[in-house]
Amino acid sequence: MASLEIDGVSKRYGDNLILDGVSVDVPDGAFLTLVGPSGCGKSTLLRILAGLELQDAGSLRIGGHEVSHLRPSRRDIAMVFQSYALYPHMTVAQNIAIPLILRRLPLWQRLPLMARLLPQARSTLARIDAEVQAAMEMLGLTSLAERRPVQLSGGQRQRVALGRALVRQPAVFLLDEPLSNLDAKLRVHMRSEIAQLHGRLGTTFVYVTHDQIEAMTMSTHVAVMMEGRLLQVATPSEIYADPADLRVAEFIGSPKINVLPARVGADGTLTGVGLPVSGSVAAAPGTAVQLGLRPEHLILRRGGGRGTVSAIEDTGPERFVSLVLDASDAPVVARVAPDHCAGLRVGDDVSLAVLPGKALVFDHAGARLGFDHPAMTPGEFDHVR
Amino acid sequence: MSADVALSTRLGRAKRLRRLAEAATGWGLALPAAVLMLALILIPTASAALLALTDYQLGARRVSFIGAANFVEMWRDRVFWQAFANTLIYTALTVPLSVGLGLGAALLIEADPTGRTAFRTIYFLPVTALLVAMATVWEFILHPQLGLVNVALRQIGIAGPDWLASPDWVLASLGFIFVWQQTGYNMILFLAGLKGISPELYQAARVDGADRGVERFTMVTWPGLAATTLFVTVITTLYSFRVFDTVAALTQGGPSNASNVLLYNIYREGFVYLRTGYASAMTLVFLALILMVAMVQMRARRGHSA
Repeated sequence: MASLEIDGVSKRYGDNLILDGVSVDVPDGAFLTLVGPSGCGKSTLLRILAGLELQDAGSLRIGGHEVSHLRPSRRDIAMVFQSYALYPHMTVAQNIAIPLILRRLPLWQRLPLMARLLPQARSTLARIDAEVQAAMEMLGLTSLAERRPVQLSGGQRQRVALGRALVRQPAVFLLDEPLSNLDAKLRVHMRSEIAQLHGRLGTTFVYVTHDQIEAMTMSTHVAVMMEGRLLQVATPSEIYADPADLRVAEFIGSPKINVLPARVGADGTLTGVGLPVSGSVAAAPGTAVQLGLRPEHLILRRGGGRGTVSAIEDTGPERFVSLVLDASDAPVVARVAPDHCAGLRVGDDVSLAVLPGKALVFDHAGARLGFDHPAMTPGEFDHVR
Repeated sequence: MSADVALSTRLGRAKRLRRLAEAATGWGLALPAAVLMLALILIPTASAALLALTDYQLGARRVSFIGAANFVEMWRDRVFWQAFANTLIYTALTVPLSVGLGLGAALLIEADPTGRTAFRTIYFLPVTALLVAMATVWEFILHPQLGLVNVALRQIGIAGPDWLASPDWVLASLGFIFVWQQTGYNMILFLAGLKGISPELYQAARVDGADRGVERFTMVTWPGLAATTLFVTVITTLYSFRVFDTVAALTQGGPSNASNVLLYNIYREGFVYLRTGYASAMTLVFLALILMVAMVQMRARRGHSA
């Protein structure tokens, strides 16, 4: 168990800047998810942590010790690869035992006959075997011990890869998109299994994914990366409710956050949105800003002449209503209860309001701006709801 | 009721007809290949087997059935046994060398991208060369007085033998030419095999603690190349058994049968001494040898995939 400090790490391949001074501190026992679109540098950062690639600048500390100059095997990390990277000629038990064998037996003692002849090697092997058994039991692999990777399903291979990582009790677990090769149902299952494993082990996890659901559901900390930069590191709920950057707000959340152009009025209020938004922006009057509205923060009502319904999607537990605002021609999606506005049809005339205190305002470059909301009385809130 | 029976028999007949048509299509599609196989492999093999039981001589008017006499003669034929032994020695010399060097070259080329294409081309060039034509070049290189090898050896004070005329060296010299050509071919096969090993396995091995190249080789590369190595070894063994062109062009089996190999012996009996029957008998033995190697491969592959 150990904390992890990443300080100003940069990496360049030829002319491409893959990582641009990434810094993040991961407290001991945290589950940090690096999330971002493909090509954002998250996998490269993980591979630099593992020691499989060298950074051009910056430092890495695990448990307070600088590890940049250390080989992967000396960093006290374990890694789970996207393809699981199981040794195809070894059984499940052998795959899990390998990291222990490589560490505890010198090369010559690993020769097949040596292990049988030397009492010392034999006792080491017996201890390794006990640890491997324990790891397999933890992951429900005991009955598969003698199988080879080809004879396993995707989920089972995944578990063997996890076993090989945890058998060594490393200080930090690195997981590189471990669920992306599984089918949707299994992915949901393994998601909770990995989260539970983290809870049981209490080890620091660094998890790379492009899937925002994985990031939101499993982690204690989410780091959103784009174009080689770390945009924000925060808890899942903070990332969602309080994004520091419009790109973060757009990446996290499905359906995507609605973005409407607006302008700051004389008293700091927003104008030109096409629907009423109360509050004042900390920006000079006349500044062009972008207003971010989560679909579930919109209140939809029939009539009122603010927009027209362009599509309705029912998913069962909720309903997504797409509409076009008359004022800005911007497409907007509202997420409402399935029985809300029963009988609503495409082409219907509707009006929209924003749940008070939920509007997010960003400047033209996407940086978040302060936005003061007037305090609401409970009565007012009832009215809006 | 009877209508039902009639219907079901009609349906049964339709089903049978369809199955028949399907079978006919299958046979039709297999026919060209079957005909070719029959004409090019099975009939010639069968005629060789028949000829092996006769005393047929090329161009002779008479032919008589002599049973196993050819095989008995073979059993007593000192030259045949020498050719047989020479072939085995030649194979034992060349196969480990050309497989090992091919693997080594592939590993070196794969290890560093610098000049990868250039090295690959250089090593592969001998494969594209026509061996009979290259034999003249080798004849010059191995010439006892003017040859490159002996001139170089003389510089460091060693008097090189007459490589192609010394009974002690002639098999090794021919083997060297084979290795020179086969290594590039094996290298290409190994390079393809290496491409099939996931780079994530090497990374996993590094994380797992395989710091030394030897460890990564034994954990990832060698097991990953198992199928390739088996294939390369079998192919090289078969090629090695079939050595003929260098022998024919450079030594004609000499000196005193020191470089006589099975195929050359067959050629000499069959086309120089015109003893077609006897040559056919030897061909059968040769065929059995080749089949044995192929069966070893098949057995091993089945064991590998299970």
